[in-house]
Amino acid sequence: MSDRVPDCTVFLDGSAVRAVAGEPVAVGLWAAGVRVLSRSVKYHRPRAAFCLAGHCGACLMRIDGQPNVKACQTALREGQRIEHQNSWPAGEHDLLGAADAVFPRGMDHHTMFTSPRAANALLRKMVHRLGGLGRLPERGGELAALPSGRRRKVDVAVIGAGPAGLAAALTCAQDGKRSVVVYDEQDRPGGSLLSHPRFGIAAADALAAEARAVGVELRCHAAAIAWYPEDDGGLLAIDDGGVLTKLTARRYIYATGSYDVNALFENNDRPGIWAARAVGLLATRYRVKLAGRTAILGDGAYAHALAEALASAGSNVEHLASERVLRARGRLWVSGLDLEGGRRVRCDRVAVAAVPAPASELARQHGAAVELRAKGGGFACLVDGRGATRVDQVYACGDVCGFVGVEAARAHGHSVGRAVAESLA
Amino acid sequence: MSLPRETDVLIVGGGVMGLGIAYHLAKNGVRDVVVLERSYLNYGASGRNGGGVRMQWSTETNIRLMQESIELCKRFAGELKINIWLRQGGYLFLARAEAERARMERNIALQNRCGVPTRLISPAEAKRIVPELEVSELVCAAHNPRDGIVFPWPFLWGYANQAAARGVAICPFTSVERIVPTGAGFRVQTSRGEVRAQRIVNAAGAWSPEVAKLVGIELPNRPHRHEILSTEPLKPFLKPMVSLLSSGLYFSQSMRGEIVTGISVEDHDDGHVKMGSRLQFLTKVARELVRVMPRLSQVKVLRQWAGPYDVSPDGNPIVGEAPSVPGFYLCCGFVGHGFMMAPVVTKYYGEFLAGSARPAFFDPWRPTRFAEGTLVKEEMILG
Ligand SMILES: Cc1cc2nc3c(=O)[nH]c(=O)nc-3n(C[C@H](O)[C@H](O)[C@H](O)COP(=O)(O)OP(=O)(O)OC[C@H]3O[C@@H](n4cnc5c(N)ncnc54)[C@H](O)[C@@H]3O)c2cc1C
Ligand code: FES
Repeated sequence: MSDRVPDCTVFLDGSAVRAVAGEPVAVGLWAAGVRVLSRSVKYHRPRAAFCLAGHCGACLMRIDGQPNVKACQTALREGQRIEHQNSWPAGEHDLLGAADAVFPRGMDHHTMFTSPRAANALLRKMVHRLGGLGRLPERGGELAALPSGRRRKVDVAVIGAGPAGLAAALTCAQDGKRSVVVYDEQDRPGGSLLSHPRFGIAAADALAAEARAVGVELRCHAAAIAWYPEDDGGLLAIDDGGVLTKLTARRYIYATGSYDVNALFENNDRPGIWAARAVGLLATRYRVKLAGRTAILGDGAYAHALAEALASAGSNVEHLASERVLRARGRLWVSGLDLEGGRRVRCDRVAVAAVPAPASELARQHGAAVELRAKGGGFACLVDGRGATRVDQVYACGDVCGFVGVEAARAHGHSVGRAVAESLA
Repeated sequence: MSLPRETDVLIVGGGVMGLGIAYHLAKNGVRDVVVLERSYLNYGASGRNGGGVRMQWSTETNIRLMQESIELCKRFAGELKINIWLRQGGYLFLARAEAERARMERNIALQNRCGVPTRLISPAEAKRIVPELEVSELVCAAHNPRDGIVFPWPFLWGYANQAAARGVAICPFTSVERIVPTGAGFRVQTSRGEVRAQRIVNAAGAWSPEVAKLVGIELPNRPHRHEILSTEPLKPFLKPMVSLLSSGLYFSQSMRGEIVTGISVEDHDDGHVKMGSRLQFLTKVARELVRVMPRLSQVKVLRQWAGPYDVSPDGNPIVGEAPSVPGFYLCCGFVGHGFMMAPVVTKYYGEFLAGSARPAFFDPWRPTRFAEGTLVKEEMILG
């Protein structure tokens, strides 16, 4: 199954590690046996990649002199210098992790040692010293490198190149009457298709090719960062490969998908506990061999698809569809789960398939109404039958309107794309 | 919190001023106090500011008050049982033009007379304090090592919790909509019903002109949007708050390690409070910041936001009883420095309302000075 051949050498805290160039740092290090990528800010709890999508912040490392870089969003390349942050003396060995043991119920530094004054002064000094995460960047100073940004006008801007966004874009562009551009923060189009064992890269590439064939422009490594209503009469700021694009469109379609969320149990932040879609990415996109045993939590369609795919690839799977997990075991890496009722499950990783949270904040900033879905992971964007939000010209489709999964998101994208095309006819 | 029907003192505004006054009233025995806040506590400037505290001012009143305010900050944790994370890393004002040197020298002389150890220093010395500074464009700098920064939110927790513990009714999500003077006090209509009050304190910050209008008073202060941003957290490296006099740029490193920076940007000041964020600000502040701190060019911005400055015509606050409406007290017009003033101002204001002597600063900051034409201009306003 695995065609991964290490072809480059990177340096982790100075030691050489063999890796596959182009893979994310977080994936390469994990495949090479590195377990702890970072430490939490306050209690120095060990952390490793959870989402592999750039959304959870559990994988921040210092890479080539830049602090707080997402290791899951940075491609490995020959000679790269990768360093652990916020641990002392280094990496997996962090004596400050004692904070976690000393304060098992947490500590509120805001109300600690408010008197006497000498103790307070000492506390302030200590907290100040421990504050912050990465060290100041090594580089900097290229004033000329501060780009001024470029203006861009299109007919339809689609944010998110997952199944919903690609479907909306291609339907909208089909008659060749309007310019359609899709922006995605990831390094390739596909969104949640990429992590789905029944779809994967092939399906993503096919849909992207279909879109390109009707004239859709696909831009990756391009994150929409904010809607600014007051600048130039309203513009969408896009970090397009490090250059600012100030975009205005006649129609905006938010197809930003959903964020992976964790399940609630003790020590749910242990390294080795991944979002199910991250495990899907490891298996489907990065083709890493999943040695040992994978515990899958959740009863949704995705959990079942993942369990099936891993099992048929010969992996050892324990699917816990409805059991309640009390706590995770293992100190630096998960070694098992304690379930309600006393049962104990041994595992080498956990894939949490909780209902993902709609990635609705950008659409909301653009004026869309949202609604809290208590069982739907978070705030869903409210749209009518045509995908229109309450703001003129602003549409949304797919998981951002409430988690529906790959196939339904794609269907929604098609129908919203059609509606948007009609609105411009 | 259910809304009391009657009270001695009704405070409009749940920012640092309103809550601080409420605490000091209760501490001095006046517990029949209600604080009404239209939104959540600290919704206005108090929950959006940069936390800078300094003694470097151009008027003696401000210098002396801030000396005392910083002393009070040092005692805050002991008294209010909450850490405000005061860090006296100093304030470093940078000058790019020769014309600014004379002004700096004048202000430093006044500050020194008041006992503030500010010094005029060379660009090279400024670079010793902040090695990452680009000093080639600078002519001189002013440095007071005793200035510093605080973390604003614990002030709210301290004042509100301690006031509530002493019986003050703190009512968020309650807005004041109409005020009817009755001769022996006021009938105040709110979004949650009516309250009768003997006295009212208008501590509504940038909204204070609107609130004053409810009793027919025209205040001269106007809201002005001020934008600010915060970066990713970095290990502590920057000691002082640094500010450029020519552009009004300022930046410091927070307790959590973020670089917090702001600058003023042109706006249409039309009397309405605006709190939207603009790309224009982000671009401007990034350019100005990197010009003096090139090493920050790769640092990532995490969030930007805006809050309202409460700008008075001479840059000084408006405090005391409104001459035309007895029983209606003003505590507003603090421009962009009301947070640092709150510990000292609210202490004396609260004590005064509880029966102590009229504080000395009530004189220079009296509301009638605008009509009289006796303004005292404060020069050291940023943004
Ligand atoms: C971006 C920014 C940076 C700043 N940096 C600093 C700094 O570094 N140092 C410093 O000292 N100061 C700074 N300031 C200024 C400082 O924040 C303010 O001077 C101070 O917080 C003012 O407090 P306040 O209580 O008067 O007003 P606010 O905090 O604005 O409180 C007024 C409250 O009144 C409420 N209100 C309004 N109308 C009504 C109504 N009708 N009914 C009920 N409630 C109502 C509002 O919702 C609001 O919460 C900054 C300000 C901004 C915006
Ligand atoms: S952000 Fe990198 S694993 Fe989640």
